[in-house]
Amino acid sequence: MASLPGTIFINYRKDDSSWNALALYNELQKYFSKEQIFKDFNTILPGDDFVVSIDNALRKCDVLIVVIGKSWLEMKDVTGKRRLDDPDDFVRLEISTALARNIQVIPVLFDDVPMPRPEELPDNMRTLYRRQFVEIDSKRFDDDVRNLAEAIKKVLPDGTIRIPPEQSHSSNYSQTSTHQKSGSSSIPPPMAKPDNNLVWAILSTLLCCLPLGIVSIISATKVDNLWSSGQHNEAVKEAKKAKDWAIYSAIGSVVFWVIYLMVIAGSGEFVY
Amino acid sequence: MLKKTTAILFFTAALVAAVVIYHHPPGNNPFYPPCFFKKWTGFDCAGCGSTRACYQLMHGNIAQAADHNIMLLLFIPVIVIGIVNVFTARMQVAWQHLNKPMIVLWLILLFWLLRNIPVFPFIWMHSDK
Repeated sequence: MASLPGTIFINYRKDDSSWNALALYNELQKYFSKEQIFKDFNTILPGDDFVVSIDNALRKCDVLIVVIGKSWLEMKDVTGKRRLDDPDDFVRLEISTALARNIQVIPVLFDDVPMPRPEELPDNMRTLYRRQFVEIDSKRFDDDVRNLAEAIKKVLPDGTIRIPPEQSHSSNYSQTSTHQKSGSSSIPPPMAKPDNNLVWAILSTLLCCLPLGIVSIISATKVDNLWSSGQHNEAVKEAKKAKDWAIYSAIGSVVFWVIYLMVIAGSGEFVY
Repeated sequence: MLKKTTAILFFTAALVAAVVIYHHPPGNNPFYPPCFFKKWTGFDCAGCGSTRACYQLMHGNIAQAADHNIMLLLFIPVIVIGIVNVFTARMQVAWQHLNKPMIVLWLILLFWLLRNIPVFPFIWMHSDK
């Protein structure tokens, strides 16, 4: 499982956002080393199964940036079908694979494009809408990318980032950046919605015969609500609680069984 | 990596439990511990009868399994899809439809209550027989 620390992939549609992606790629190099950022999957060779290749490439990836431009959603192929509706569409394959692998996926919206709604997305990338997005405006490009870099920084392992000190050469930039930004678009760290661990809760309730399983289910019910109301840290805590109680329930049952067997064996001898 | 360890632990435990239960019919068998909710209160808990249901299921008696713990039987597809989703990240869409903890909670609590009512339609849910 040895992977390069802190690898960022930029996913984009060539006909939609090649300039956006290039600008982002260049600007992000202020914050991350060039070796950390990948813009194209160069690893796919002729004859490769590209589904396998994308899967392998994403194995080394910590963050997938999804560049969304004006025609990202609606772009059609020669037959008039929406590109996103093609299951073999590269953009879709990369995003759905990353989502399935629970990699940090950050939608980056250019040119005031709204975040696509879930019903506009194909099934296997629908959860993209739940990911915290970042908007990039050409007028405040430097600022916006800095915010994005800060958000990525919170996700990557430590020691892989170098955030340069505030540049003082552009005066209006340093004046507005701290105050205005925190109000208009302060960005919480992108974080994957935690699994509520419901399977374990059900298993421990029905198989372990302990009320602890019920506690686990109650915790699981809270995860989604907390998450959708923006209390992300609490949601993560509650998800962990759900898992912990399920584990306690399972361990409790095993311990109970062992003690029970010892008592049975003991009493058997006693009677004899 | 942690997930792999969990998967190995989980499936090993499940396999061992399955082999043991397959060869040792539960029911009045002192080898299995009683549910202590049942022992102390005399009432079924939501999980009572699940060991017997597993045994019957592994021997192909679906009706018998349903008789011991219908809730477990109903939840088997949910559990299977949930486990596939946890370990492989497949079946995400199917799991999203099933992942409704509030409904699960109410179903189980309701089942717990109803199966202890000793009158005709409910008595059938009781684990004993």
